Amino acid sequence: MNPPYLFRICSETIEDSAIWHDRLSYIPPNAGGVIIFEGRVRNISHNKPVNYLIYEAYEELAKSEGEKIIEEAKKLNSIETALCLHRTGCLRVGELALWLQVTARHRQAAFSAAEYIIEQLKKRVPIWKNEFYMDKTSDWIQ
Amino acid sequence: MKIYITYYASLREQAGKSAESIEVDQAELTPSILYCKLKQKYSFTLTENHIRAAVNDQFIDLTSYLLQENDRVAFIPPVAGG
Repeated sequence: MNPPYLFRICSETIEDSAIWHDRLSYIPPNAGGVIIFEGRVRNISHNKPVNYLIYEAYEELAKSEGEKIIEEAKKLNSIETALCLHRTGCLRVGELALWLQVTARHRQAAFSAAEYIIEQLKKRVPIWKNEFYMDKTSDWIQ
Repeated sequence: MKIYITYYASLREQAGKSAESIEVDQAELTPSILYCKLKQKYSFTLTENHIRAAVNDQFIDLTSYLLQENDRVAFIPPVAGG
């Protein structure tokens, strides 16, 4: 069994990863609250229809910074486990870009930790998004 | 000394490469000074205020870290995960 606090980059579909398949086994029996957050590719961004997007990561640093954030969330909230997977590569509209599962004895800690992890991830983890629009233009989101 | 540089996202596109190694002979070279040189060379549009840097897979301070032989430097444009 992997450690219950981890952050991983997935170059393939998140739903094909071993961690996602085993996700129920990471819910300990004392967890009365489980928060699952899914970030998916939206069809409209910056008022333009999205065709697809490409996520790029600095994988070693993304993993260490992501796990640092999870450790911080654990210190701030009484949680039992936190797993976060982030996709890289080409994603179509509707595809899963980010998957987060946080468990805690009580729901408030799980909600709060999940919010913290997502907010900090968006600010700190070296992952970049290049959006490609239906009008053939593209933008690095900054 | 030899420095290895990795570029990501918009910096990679503007540099036209994802990595390179360079020889520098400047003493007390910080990532900040190095970025200014590369910004001129590749016409990077991001100013130093908008980037961070990592050396050997750890975030470091742009203006106080002194680069050493064989350091692996990455300049980090604004991130957009999630």
